[in-house]
Amino acid sequence: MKKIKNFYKKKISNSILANFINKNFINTYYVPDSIFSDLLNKISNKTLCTRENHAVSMSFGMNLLEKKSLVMMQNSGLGLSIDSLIGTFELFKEGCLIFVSNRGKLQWEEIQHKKWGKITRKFIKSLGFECYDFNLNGLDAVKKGYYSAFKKKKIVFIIFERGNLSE
Amino acid sequence: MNRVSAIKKIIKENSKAVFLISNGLSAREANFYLKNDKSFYMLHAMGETLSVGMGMAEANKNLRIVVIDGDYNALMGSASWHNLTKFKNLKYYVLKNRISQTTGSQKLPSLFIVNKLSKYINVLKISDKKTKTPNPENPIVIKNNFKEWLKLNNKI
Repeated sequence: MKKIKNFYKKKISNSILANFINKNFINTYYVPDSIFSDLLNKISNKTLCTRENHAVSMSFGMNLLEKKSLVMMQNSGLGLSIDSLIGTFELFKEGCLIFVSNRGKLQWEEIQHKKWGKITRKFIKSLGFECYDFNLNGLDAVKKGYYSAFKKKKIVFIIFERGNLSE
Repeated sequence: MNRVSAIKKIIKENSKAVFLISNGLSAREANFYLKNDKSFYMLHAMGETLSVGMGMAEANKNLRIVVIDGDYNALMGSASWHNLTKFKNLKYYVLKNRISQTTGSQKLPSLFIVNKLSKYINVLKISDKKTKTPNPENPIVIKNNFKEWLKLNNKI
């Protein structure tokens, strides 16, 4: 029997979110992910990173020169990113904004993503980092996260569910 | 050449640059013996000094950035090496003694550098000699001193 693929609800067009990113960030450091694939095509300045920890550190380097950059990764890269986050942004008390895709929550998704789908939110919160849901609040979640990251110098994650953006 | 002499040499040869010095003995000894406000001393984030340097190099293409790494940190951060070819304002040095000295001198594998990258990675061989140095100062002090220097010199 063919599996029916359900998705979370689309929140806004990728162009609107890309406009926000292009207007507010000098660069986006990303590890490729299918949920962000179409969005990434619309982002003007971006750097592909082979590891999530390097994406975080590059963003910190930009922050040291008082320029804002965005980090994008999938939830399976969270583990790699943590030592870098703790050793840069947290230790030197600076803020950063990270978009993370929450793969593995839908029934039809592949088995290797399931565990991360269950633990992503809890994992981020257990580290004391802030977390906003794009699935609930769309662009407002991003704006709140932006404010918290760059005005209050917090480490902030925005969680995207599969279907929130066109792929 | 010991570590301090190697770092001193690098600083002297790149007088117009700012410096990022990797966590462990590199940052400890540089902070203790050669402290200056145009250097940013990493305290943690193992293997990430080069990536931080790349972010800085992207943020200001007119600023010369020198990254000084130990060979173990370099190995840990080697997944970022492919980006080295992008930056004309970034110079990367690796201090090589083939051991992880901060953690008890465990022997390291070779620093394998593919030909295409060899001109971007400056390897300096250093001795095993280490001195008893304290952890660098408070991270906020390090950051504020560095940013103050950047502001005074119109780099940010």
